[in-house]
Parts: sequence; structure tokens; C-alpha cells
Amino acid sequence: MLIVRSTKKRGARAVTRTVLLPAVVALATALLPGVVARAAAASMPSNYTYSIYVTSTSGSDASTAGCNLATKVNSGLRPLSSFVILDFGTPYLNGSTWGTYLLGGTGQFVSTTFITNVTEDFGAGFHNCLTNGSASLRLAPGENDAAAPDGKHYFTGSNGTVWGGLVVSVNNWLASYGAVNVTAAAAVDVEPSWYTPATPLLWGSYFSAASGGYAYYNFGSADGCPYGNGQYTNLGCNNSWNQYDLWDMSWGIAAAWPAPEDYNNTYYTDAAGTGNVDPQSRQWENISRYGYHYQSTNPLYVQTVTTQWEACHQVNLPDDGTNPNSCYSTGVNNTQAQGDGDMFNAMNNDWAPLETGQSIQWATDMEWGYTLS
Amino acid sequence: MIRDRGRLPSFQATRRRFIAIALAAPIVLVVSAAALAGGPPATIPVNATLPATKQATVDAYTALVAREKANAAPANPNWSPIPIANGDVVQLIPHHAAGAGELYDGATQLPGQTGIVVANVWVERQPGRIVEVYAGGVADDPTLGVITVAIWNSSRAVWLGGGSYWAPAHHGSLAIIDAAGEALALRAADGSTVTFDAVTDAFR
Repeated sequence: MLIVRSTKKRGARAVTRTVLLPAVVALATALLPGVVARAAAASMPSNYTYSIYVTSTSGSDASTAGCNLATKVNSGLRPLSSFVILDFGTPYLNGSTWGTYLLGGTGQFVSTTFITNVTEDFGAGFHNCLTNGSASLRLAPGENDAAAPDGKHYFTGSNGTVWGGLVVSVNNWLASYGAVNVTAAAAVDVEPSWYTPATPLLWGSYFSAASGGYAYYNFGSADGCPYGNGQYTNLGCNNSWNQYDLWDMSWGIAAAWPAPEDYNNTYYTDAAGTGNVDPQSRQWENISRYGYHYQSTNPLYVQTVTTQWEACHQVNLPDDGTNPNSCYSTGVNNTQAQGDGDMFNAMNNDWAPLETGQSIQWATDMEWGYTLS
Repeated sequence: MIRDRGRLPSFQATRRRFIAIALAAPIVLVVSAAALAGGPPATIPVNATLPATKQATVDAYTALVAREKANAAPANPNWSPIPIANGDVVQLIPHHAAGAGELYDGATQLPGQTGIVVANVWVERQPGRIVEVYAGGVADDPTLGVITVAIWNSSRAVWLGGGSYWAPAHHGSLAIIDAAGEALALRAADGSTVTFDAVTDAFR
């Protein structure tokens, strides 16, 4: 979802890459406490996957989609190291059965057994069609922290325990099936505007306790968090969240790994006169800098940038320059390359690369259904 | 509405330049324009040592891959998907017949749409495809009503097309109240009514 709106549109924007002078790296390493084990140029992925708002209730569709992805990996159309979120929507407890409401459509409720099976089907489909033995897939069934149709939130500690067990179950199944290099994690779309922080943070802690070391990726937003230079002193975000909460939800909790949204391609000029500043990536840069300064030099390391160019263009008005709710007009128009480049630049080339410098290993763009995967 | 895209040409060109520089001159330090203008130094510590808790995650996946390799299975072209039990997919949102389809009293939102609040959805199952029509409004402008059409294949696995359409006049958020065939009767927030034709995707 959209985090902030600004007035300046993107202009010609160079995506800067940095190649390090080894001596400079060594110096930087020496100056940073407990940091660099090995130095290399920061890098970002050269290709991306599509992640999916799951709408089908067919296991066959999931395995076909996994196979299609593997076929594209075989031919180089998708990255050798792939990351795919299967977004199953909003958590709900139906009687004694945990599950989710699928997004869109008729809002069908699917159980965690269904989610487990469909994730395994996708993984099996990928494995069965993959011919490149060096390829890998991190598959992440996901849910969000929004309210269910009854207005209540079910993104709770108990739900975290269930999802931790779900990931363990899928990974045990993948191991027993022999699906080499297909691994599962959870994904959570945690957006501050949807829920206050206490219970989502419990979800994370309970997940960690139940997941046997396996990860969850937060592909949510930092809505309302500050994006100005130097604004990293645990400042507030929407709905009582602060930078510590988002750092914790995305990195501080043992199983947490950040996969933040960067959907927005509206830019602004900051107080220092720097143009084309991307607020969403700067919000995460500030959260990372908060971790560096206030959590024992522990900045967060973004694993993937999540955009939703495809999903937005599937459901919205055409970008003809006049439609007020088109992806262009609302700013939800970052291509994967733009989102990835913005986040990379924010972490590496802007205000504090010595604090937040990092590589990004995956890239993914959301779509409706298994349409392009 | 279905499209596949490559990366932006300008981005590809930038990447090719980067790779060329990296291969030919590994000690080149590229400094961004912002840095030249007085920004921070372009020295980047990457691949830092992870906190112990994060290393535990890496180790868990390393062990998992080892288990998978120890039990590596050949590709199975005759894979049969895991059966889905009836109780694992449940329709909970109330609905009733309306014209050629069914009207669902409420719907989850559509990610990708910014600021649109869906009121309800009408669904028609046609041979080989499903047509969904969402009615709602714009959170930031209570005068605007909007219809979004989604067309899927018969299992809702593949998006076949669709788009959004503004109400012809500013009467507020829309809700579907009934249907005759594929003509949907809509009521706006101010009580006025309008019809949306789900065949031509036009108001009338």
C-alpha cells in the first residue's frame, strides 16, 4: 500500500553502482566494529520473479505455476536464485481451524492445511521441471496483518505458532520428497496502518519459537515512518508503530528478514536540495540506521525488494495521463528495476553507506494469480 | 491487461556499463553525483558478519538443503497434486443469486489498488472463465464511485483482463444492489442509482 505522497515525479535517475577499492574497503572495515567478514562490491539482482496473490484453490494450478517458473529459470528468463511469495491473504480462525481469507474475489477461506499443500505443490512443480541443478527457490507462503471481514485481527501469537509449524511441515515434506534447493519460509505483509504493533510483534516471536530456525520475510511497509536525513532516533510511524518496532518485526526477531515494499515512484526534493529522493526506500534506510545506532550496530539487511507494478496495472485504470486513480497517478508504479534501484541506492549511496551498505539478493514483483509466473 | 516486460532499457544499459567497469577495472571507485556534490563517501561495507540469530537461520537452511540432497529425487513428470479436502476451502462470506451471477455481501480489498474501498462483488461463472465486478469508492474522495472488473480463467489461476471504471457522476461510493442478467443495479452513497453493463463494461 501507499506510504506517502509527494509532489515531484521521477525524472531521469541514474542507478549508481559502486565498485570498491580494496584498500578503501579494508579501511572502512577497520573502522567499523564487528562488521565485515569479507568485502565485496555491493550488488543487486539482475532479474526478478513474480510473486502471487493466490486466487486459485487448485493444487494442480500451483504445481503448474511452479513448473512454469522452473521452465523460465531453465531458459534464463527468471533468476537462478529465485524468491517467490505466495500471498494467501488475511488470517482468520474459522471455529478451531486456522487459515486465511484469500484476497479479492469471493473471499474464500482456506485452511493452513490447504496453504501447506498448495505450497508443496508449487515446490514439487518447480522441482519436477527444473533442469538447471544450480538453481534454487525460496518459497514463502504469506499472510498479512489486516483485519478479517469480521473486523477483528487474527495476526496473533497463536497464529505465529501455527505458521512456524506450517513452514517446518513444508520443509520436512520438501526434504522427504527430495526437492533439492527448494526451501520454504513464511512471508508477512505487515503494514502499520492495518494494526498496532504489540500483537504483530508477538506473532514474530511465537513464529521464531516454532519455526526451527526457518525464516519469515516481512514484505510490508513502513507507512508514516520518517524519510528525512538523520531521522532515525526511534521516531514514530503510523498507528503507534515506531522505528524500533519495524526494525524488530523485520530484523530484530530471530526469524525476521526484511523484504520491504517499494511500490511508490513519486519522488521529492529534500531539504538539502537533493532531488529524486524516494520516500519508501528512505524510510527503510532510516530504520536500518536506527539499528546501526541504537541496536548495537545492527542494521537490517534487505533480502528482496517487493514491488507491485503488475498487480496494480492488472486492476487499475490505464496510464493515459488523465485517470486520477491509475497506477501512474497514485504513484504505485515502480517497476521492479526502479524499486530495487531505489532501495539499493538508499542503502548504499545516499546518506549513510558506512552504516547500511549491503547487497540485495532477490527481487520480486506481485501479480494477481499465477498469470506470469 | 496481460503483459510481460523486460527491464527498462536504460536500466539494462546501466547494468551493462556496471558489469564492464567491474570486469575491466576492479579498483575503480564510482562515486555518485550526490557524493560528488558533498554527499557521503561511496565506501560500502557489504556481506557483513550476521548476528548470531541470523546465522542460525542460514544454518537451518544449509541443513535443510543437505537433507534434500541426501534424498534427492529425480524429476517426476507424472506428479499428482496433493488432494485438497472439502473442508480446506470454505465460502464464508454470505452470497445470493443475482441475475446471471451471485452477489457477495462484502469482499476483501484488491491489493494494487490504492485508496479504493470495495463494498461488494458480483461474480458470474461463464464457460471457461469467471467475471467479477467489484463496486466501491475512493477513500480520499467520498464523491467518487468506482467499478473494477476482473476476468479470470475458470479456476481463477490466470488473470485474463479487466480494469477500473469511474462512475459517470459524483454521487459517492457505489454498491451493487441487484442484477438482471448481466446488468448490475448500483446505488450510490447519495441514494441515486445507475446501471453497469457487465458485458460492455459501461455505465448506462
